[in-house]
Amino acid sequence: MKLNSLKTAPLLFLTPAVIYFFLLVIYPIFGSFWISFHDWDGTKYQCSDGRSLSELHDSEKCRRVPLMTWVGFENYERFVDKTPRDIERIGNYLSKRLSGEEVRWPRLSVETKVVMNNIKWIILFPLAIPIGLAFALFLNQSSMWIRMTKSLFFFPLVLSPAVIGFVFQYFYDPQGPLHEIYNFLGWSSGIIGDQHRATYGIIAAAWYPQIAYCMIIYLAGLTAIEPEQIEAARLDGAKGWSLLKRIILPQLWPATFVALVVTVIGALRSFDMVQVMTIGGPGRGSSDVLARYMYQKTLFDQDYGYGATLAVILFLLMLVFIAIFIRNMVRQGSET
Amino acid sequence: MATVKLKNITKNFGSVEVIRNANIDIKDSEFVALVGPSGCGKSTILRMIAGLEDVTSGEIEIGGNVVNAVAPSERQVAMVFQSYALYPHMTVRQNMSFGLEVTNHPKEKIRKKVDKAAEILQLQNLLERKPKQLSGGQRQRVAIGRAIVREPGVFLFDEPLSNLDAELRVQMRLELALLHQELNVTMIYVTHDQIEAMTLANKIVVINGGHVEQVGPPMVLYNNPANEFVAGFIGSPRINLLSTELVVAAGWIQSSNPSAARFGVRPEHLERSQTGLEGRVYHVEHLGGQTITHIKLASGEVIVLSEPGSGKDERGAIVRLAPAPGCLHAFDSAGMAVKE
Repeated sequence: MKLNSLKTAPLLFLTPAVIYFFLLVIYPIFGSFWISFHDWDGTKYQCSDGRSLSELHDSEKCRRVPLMTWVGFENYERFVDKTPRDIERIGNYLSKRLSGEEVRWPRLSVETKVVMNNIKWIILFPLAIPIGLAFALFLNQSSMWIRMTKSLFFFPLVLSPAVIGFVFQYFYDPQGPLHEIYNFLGWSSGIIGDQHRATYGIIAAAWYPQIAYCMIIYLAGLTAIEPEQIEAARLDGAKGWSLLKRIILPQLWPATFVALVVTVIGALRSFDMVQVMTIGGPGRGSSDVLARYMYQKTLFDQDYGYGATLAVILFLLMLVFIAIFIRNMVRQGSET
Repeated sequence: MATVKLKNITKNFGSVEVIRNANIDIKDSEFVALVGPSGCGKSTILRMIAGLEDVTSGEIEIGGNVVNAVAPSERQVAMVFQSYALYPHMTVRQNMSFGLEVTNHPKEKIRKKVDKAAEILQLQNLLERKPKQLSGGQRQRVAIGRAIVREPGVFLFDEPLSNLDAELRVQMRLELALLHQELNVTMIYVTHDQIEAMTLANKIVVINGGHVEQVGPPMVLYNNPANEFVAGFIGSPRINLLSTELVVAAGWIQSSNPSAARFGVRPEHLERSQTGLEGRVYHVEHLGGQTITHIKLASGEVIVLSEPGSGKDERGAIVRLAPAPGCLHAFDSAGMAVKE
């Protein structure tokens, strides 16, 4: 009898949370997969028994189910449809550029631009990690002024990303406070008004809170290092770079790992900054990313099937990175 | 030449004066213990010698050179920390090689020095382990090994045995004493345990409240303490301090030097006598080969008696005590020793 209650009690406690998790996370994931194989505009419904809504009598009600048309992998084909053509165009551009010709950047499909932007995010966004480390090393002192300054450095994290986006937009305005710099550089559209520079401008804005986040993680990691160890290293003759590389950084690996996971996943998830600053523009998709493009396709272009496809592609992309991280974590866990 | 001299050293932390005008002279190959209660400044002095703390005023000389402005790694000193401060992500061998690697010594030489140090400390089988796989005593030996490998002129120890259990402490004390004999290098050893100081040191520096109370060989401090503090700090159980009136009334002395305000006699220097100070036993501690008896006097003061063997006193027994000849120390009203 006792053994039974020991087994069932934890299960009972877990059940509500598990139900929520399945309903709100697992089910929609599979739902997205399912929808991605269909074509649906989000407005057409039918009765669950197969009748169309127009067949209903006046006061009759039936359970409504989306009216989706099965299209198989058509949505996925649509995603990669223009990719070969775009690769060729980029190849031509590069070869002409390398041979010294003056060429304009070719016109590419939105899908290609979106994927390229995601790649830019994955590569550039994690630069917030070493910058955050630099700040953490600098702020890891015990003077009173430093302690007050620490809270100021933490501020960007407290601000809403939308607010940060707006403020950066203000500074990116070619007629705004920095107009003289933009005039000098010849950037008449500012930063996010230019289709080639927009993504970089948004990434820079997103760095602002992310650097603060990484800094906090590293500050916590630094306090875990025994001060006597640093003194022992000083006595051993380690200074500056060798001290950092051989004593401090190896012990910061857990912090670095957390920062990497959060930052890389964050790079793929980035939505609010892009939406607030450029709505994916200027033009079609020059600063767009998968997460925001999916949002637009689904809710504004009413193309739920294609939106779900984009969601699935983003999911699979994230899965690659998450798998790498989990494998790393499991390996670390078995070492200790 | 690894002599160490502290000349008029003063140390302030902000507005708080922590070390007051310390003068200490340490000769080559000496084992010097810095002892004192917690917070007296002994660790601060050690860290100033190492270069981990700045000196507010005064000079520190190592090997005849003033080193106030010299970086810690260039002072020819090596330090063993209380918490060992081993690098947790490195193996024992890497821990010991680190200092030499960072200062660009050739790999072969490093390997030889590490092997030699490992042999002295019996660490040969542990070289590929990481600190978390070692016991406390082993970690401490690695910390010592890390210091030996640098072949310093001065070894600095900051309460190295504090984190060990009692039995291991006794064993490591012996190993440290033998290590000093074998290496014959100057060693400066900070501890709050006067037993460690008495058993290991050639010379003891007693520090109280940032002030050097007395410097001398262990037995000199034991037999001729310069003041009440040193008398009370050295020797266990603690010395008994009694007022002049009590001592005269007990018949221990006829009349005293008028400047003598208090007298001290060590528990192990008290003998039972027919006449003398009378009191009632209120607690007995049996250590096996030694018995410590706590006695309450009529005046309410407490006196402690230490005798070899097993005592047979019961609580409430009446005891009469007198000091062994020449074992009574006189102190004036300021606590300084008075010559009889």
